[in-house]
Amino acid sequence: MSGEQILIIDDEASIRANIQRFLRLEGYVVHEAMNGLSGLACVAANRPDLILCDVMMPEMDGFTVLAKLRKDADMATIPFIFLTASVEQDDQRFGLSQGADAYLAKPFNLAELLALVKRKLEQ
Amino acid sequence: MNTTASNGAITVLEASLSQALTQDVLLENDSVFRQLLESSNDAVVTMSEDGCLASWNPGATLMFGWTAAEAVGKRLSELMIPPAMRERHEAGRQRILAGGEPKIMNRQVELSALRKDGREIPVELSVWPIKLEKHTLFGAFIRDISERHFAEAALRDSEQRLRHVIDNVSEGIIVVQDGRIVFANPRTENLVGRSLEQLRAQPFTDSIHPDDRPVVADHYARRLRGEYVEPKYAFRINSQTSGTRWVELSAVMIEWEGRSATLSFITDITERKRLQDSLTQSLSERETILQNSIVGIAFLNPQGRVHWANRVIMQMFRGKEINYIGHSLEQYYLSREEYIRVGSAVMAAVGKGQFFETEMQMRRADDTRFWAYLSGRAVNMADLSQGTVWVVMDITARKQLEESLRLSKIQYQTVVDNVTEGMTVVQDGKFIFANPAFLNLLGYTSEEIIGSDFTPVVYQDDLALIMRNRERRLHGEVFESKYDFRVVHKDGTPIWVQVSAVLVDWHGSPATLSFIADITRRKQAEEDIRVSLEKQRELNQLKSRFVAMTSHEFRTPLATILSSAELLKYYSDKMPAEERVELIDSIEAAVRRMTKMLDDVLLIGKVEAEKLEFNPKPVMLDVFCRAIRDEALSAAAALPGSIAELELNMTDCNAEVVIDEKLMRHILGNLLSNAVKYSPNGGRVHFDITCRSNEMIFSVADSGIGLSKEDLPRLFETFYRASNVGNISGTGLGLAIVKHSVAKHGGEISVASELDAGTRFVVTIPRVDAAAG
Repeated sequence: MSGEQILIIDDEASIRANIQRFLRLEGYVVHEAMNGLSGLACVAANRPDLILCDVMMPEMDGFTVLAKLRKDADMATIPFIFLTASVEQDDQRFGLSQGADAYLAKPFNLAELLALVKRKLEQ
Repeated sequence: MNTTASNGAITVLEASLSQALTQDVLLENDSVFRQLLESSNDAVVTMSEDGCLASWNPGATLMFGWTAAEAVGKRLSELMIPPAMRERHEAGRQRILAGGEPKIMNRQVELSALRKDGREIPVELSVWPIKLEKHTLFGAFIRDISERHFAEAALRDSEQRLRHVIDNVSEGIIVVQDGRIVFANPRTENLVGRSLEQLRAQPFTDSIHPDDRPVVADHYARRLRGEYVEPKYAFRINSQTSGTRWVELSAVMIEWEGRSATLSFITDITERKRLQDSLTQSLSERETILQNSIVGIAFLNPQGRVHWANRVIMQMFRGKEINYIGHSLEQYYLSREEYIRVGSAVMAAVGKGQFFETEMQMRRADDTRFWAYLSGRAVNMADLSQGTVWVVMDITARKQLEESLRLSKIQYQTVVDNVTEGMTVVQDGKFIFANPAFLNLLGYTSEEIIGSDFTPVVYQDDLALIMRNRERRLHGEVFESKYDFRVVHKDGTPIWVQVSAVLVDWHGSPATLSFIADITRRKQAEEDIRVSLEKQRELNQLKSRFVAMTSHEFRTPLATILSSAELLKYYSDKMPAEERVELIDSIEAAVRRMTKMLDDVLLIGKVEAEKLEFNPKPVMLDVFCRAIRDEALSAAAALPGSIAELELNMTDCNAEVVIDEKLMRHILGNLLSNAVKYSPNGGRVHFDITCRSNEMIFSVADSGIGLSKEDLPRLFETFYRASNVGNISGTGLGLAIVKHSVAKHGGEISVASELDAGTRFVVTIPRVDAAAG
């Protein structure tokens, strides 16, 4: 199970740090990006196996990132999970309708996160 | 007479001559003859065979002018016969001498004779031969017939004139004998369109209209029998050329050629008859009109009593007796006093040749009352004895209408005067009517406004609308007649009104009647509701945005706290010690962040409840500002993705001033964190403090995303966030707190900004020194 690459896109440094710490401990290779733009660059550079992405971010939000990825045949198949602090149902639906594979509401349990990541990677 | 006398004389003379045999008788007779000859008015002359005159009586002298002495022995032809006839005379004499039968012998002939004075006169001549023993004498009686000639000529003339009259007279003249026309003048021929021959050939009744024949025949028969017949009567004839014509006939019995006949004079009266008929008809029409007129018409005698009244009068007064000649009208007046009063007024008016006119209540025969209109005048202005003519009308209905009109007018007036709506009529752009409510609304008096132009009363901005609508209305266009606009009170205040206008006819010209309601309150209420609804809507929007934002702002640090706690819980043994400290620090930072947010929310709650506390205390300004700068730096470090630098610059800040430290921290902390937060691409934030003698000036300037003009006015409202914040998190509370905090210090805040260029906030706080405090 080792060696699978996961990209975290979130503008909140402490959240990025904690997820990275956790997933690394679980044996994944983790990349970080602090907004949508740098996130897309990182996808292009590393072609991660899974993407965890915040929704509300400066520069480029999560929806835009997902839309751009889905247009790229090469990247479209990368499992994409939204990490959202919003409680608005509309946002969640919108994310799914854009083709996100799953979403996880903040705050979340690390166990939850790991289970979801594993499931999506297996799929 | 003359003729008879001379005839007698001749007879005597002849008898005498036949008895000339007896001498005695002869002698006696000679004397008689002589006397006869001497006294005869006729000329008696004798002529010898040689044509010389043998005797010449005084009558001859009188007639021809020659004396017997002058005439006897002269040739008769030279003396008495006009030269033109002498030859004939001589030829006749010779013929007689030759034994021929004389043409003129023993007969009377008329011829011209010559007088001594050369004048020719007509004479009647009878010549006879007197056979003596040896020779023959010719005797001649000569009579001056000038007078007879004259009379005959006069008769001829007179006959001719009569004929002329008969032929040309405009009356037809006919003579009927034995039922037939024996004479008719040309006018008759012309009248009946038949010639005299045609008339003579038929019974005289043939020319008469069949319907009138019996009458005419009867008249004729009666006249023949010598009975009385009216001298003139009319009947119709059938003219062959001009149809039926009316004629008038007058006839007399005459003798015509020895037998009785009727002489009739016929006058064409067709035209006269037509005129008469039309006069009769027009008189009867007039009578009918008067009788059937819808107004009562009466003629009164000079004493005011009835002379004639038409049916309407009878119906109006419900009494037949009113039409009785000489009937008094007193009973129809309400009182005797009134009868007398009106009577004398009528006399006075009529006496001056004027109309009398009045409206009064009158009494009918059945004692009911009604309103009457009376109008009278003299029949003949110049002769008052002909009485007066009156027109009477029952005007009860009109009076009732007038009364109800008057009442309704009072009612309407009351309504118009007391209605709370303003009412006004504008014609040709000018006020021509305004009710008290309208005057009251605008603060003008009736005198000020009536006749004045309406446009100054309309609020300038609404005038175009009013003019447009007015044009449309005057052109008869139908459109929403109720609309709102502003009028201007006399004192210049604009007043919102609702007008409902209709086109009316006002004294024959189009005008606009407007009902005007003061809707200032309604407008204000509408505006208040609109504003408050808008506020409500914005507030809702702001609140939902706040909810979303706070949710995000709370969930994010919560996510940090939870994940840090779990890592510490499950993986602390796999982590180095400093990493564990980092995790604990992150938990602390997240909690601080949440606390700060809660504080802000609570603070703004206090601000809105106006319970914000103000506790000014002496503070060293420079020390305080540096502390703020440090806090801002550490907050910026904790802020995700903040890369801007912060530069503090203080001028004259080494002073102890009195401020509320907590509020001041809100002010500067928020401004600085905003400056950093909204400079996502980095740059330098300038934090400048200048302390002057009377005020402290705090300036925070960045080169970040800036603000749009539209956002500037609302920037300090609770929950309001600029439109270009994007995903930069925030609650919309910071600047609201700043503003209130500045206000608590009695200071001011201003902002200058440009999109994508940066923003500068300047806070000015009055300086209060600790020593003074």
